[in-house]
Amino acid sequence: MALQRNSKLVTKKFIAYLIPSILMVFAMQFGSLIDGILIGQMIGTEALSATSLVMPILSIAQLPGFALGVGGSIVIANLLGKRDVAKAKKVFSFCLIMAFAISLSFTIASFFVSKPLASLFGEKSLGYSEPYVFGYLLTNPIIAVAMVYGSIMAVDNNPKLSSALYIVANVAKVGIEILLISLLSKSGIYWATFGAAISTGLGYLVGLLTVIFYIRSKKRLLKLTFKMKGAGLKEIMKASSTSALNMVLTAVQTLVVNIFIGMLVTSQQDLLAYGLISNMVFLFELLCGGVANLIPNLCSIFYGEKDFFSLKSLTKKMFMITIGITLVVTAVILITPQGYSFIFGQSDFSNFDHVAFLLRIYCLNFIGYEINKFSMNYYPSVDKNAVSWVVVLSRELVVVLPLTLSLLFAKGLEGYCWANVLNETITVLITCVFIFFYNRKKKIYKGLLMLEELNVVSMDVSLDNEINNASVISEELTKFALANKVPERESQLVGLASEEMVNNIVTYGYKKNVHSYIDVNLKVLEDKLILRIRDDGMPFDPTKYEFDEDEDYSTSGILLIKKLTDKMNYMRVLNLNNTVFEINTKGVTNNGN
Amino acid sequence: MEIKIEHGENLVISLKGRLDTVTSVELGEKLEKEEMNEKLVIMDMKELEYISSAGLRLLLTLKKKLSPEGKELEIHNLNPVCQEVFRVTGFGNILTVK
Repeated sequence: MALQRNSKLVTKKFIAYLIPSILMVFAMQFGSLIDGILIGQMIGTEALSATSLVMPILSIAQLPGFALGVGGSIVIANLLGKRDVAKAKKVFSFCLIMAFAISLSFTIASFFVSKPLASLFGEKSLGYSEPYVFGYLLTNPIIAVAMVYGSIMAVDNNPKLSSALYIVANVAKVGIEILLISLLSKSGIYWATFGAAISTGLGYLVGLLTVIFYIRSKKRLLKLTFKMKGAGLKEIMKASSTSALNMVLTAVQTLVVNIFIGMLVTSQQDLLAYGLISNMVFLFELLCGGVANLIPNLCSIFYGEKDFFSLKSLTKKMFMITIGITLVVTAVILITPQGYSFIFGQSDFSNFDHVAFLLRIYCLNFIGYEINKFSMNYYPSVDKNAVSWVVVLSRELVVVLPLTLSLLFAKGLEGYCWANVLNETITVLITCVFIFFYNRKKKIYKGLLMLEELNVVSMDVSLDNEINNASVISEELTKFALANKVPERESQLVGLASEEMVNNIVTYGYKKNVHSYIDVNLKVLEDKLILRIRDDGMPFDPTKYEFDEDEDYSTSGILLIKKLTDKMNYMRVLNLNNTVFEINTKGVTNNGN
Repeated sequence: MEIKIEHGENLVISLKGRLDTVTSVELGEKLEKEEMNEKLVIMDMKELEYISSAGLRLLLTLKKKLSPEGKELEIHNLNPVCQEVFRVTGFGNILTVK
């Protein structure tokens, strides 16, 4: 029987994680959309434009929670992949406490800086912008804590709770916002806008109720600790840097570009086109954001485990899905910009040719846009932050600002559309060139995924959950170990460990007639054998298993391998059982080359 | 796995290969059909390379079947790896190993 590795088990998990992630993105995008509608309808269009103008400030305020949440989850996922739960707990605690502390300092500052900050965007709209900035900063620590929990719960075996947090928060926010604006508008526009601002924080406070379920979850690995020495500040900062830099530069870029667009784009058709263009970003985020969110979580874990087969397979799938969706939506907009505009309420298509032309140009940027977003999420997950920095700096600063501004001045909104297409394309090219030279310099990384070559003798297979496969894998692993000059005893032991474990998984792990897969990996190192068995059966920690046989003998296979192997580790990662055995070897002559 | 059964003064069952999840079922089915009139049943494991807990459970079942009939089960010629399995599971204490 030819045994091969497949990605069916990890793909099952990917699909299980994808649905909550898509729902989460939907909730967040609709939350923002409805927020705008409510402010516009219930307070007024002046309030809407004033609150839109101060968005860059709010983005900066979100930075601690967002960056430490994303960065922390990357580091934690990586540590869980390496089975270092103790350090993962420290990272979790550090990120949570730091995000809260920094946000709290913003809250304290809000009493003094809200007015001067808001006045930067014009004295005329200060009546709206000041209470909005003040209200948002006041509740900012709640948002920061929720963002950290949202990111961490997803990597700590609770992706559904993570999505539930955002969904509950955004639904609650809408309800609270309607209530507060209705109640406070009697006291004037200041308090109505203040009510709209604090509704986000209060919504997240309701969303944080999901943390109660997380704390009670049996699948949870991370617990808060105040012993944070050795949390790895450098690693956290490195992993957080891309999202932090991206957030700051996006805010700066949006601010600068918006100022010039406001000055240069004046015709009715251009204004209509600009509104539709802004919604295009929303549409692509809505459709592709769910996949993008999963990249750091999944890739970091598999990178930590050095399971490059799963990493490559899932990365390829996520990339294909993202680009597939992007190509289809781009094609639809190219074919029928009127159809796209209709979704956003445009029904009058007289004099629409110029708008259609601009939409067709602008939609071309999304292929590059999604590739660049993919890069920004992927490379920090595999510890190649330098690449993601290149992407961020290129698309948010080096290329986009001079290019956008010069084309905007030269050709108006059409120039802006072309600038976006060129910017994303140039960034993709710059990234590829950078990767080429980086790989050439470092010599150990290969291809666009930049994974190092593992010079280890290993056997990597996937099995159907059938009882006969317990014997098959045992025999094959023993043969493989013997062929690689592992001593007879240790070769037989590794076979025994795999048989007993697979037998147990097949017999007790699944309900009747449930078909699934078990991934088995054996690494032959110089001084030991490492056997990893991964399954999606019921949670079962063999290291805690005790057999209550009232005899002086035991027929338990699990106890047998516990006694015969030198080390046994277990961890529930990505809702998968991961059991790792180590068997010390002596006299292994093959070094894997 | 190869199974050789010889009747005589004692019943000698010689095993060659691996006694695992699959082959222990095969051996069990074969022994179920076998008439065991001899007082002593010897499992000769000289050529048995490997035994798992499934194989141990089969031996235990066989012993429990033979004991009430006043018959004995002996295990002969275990290789070092199988001996270790017998030792850590306590099977070396409940079965006669020679």
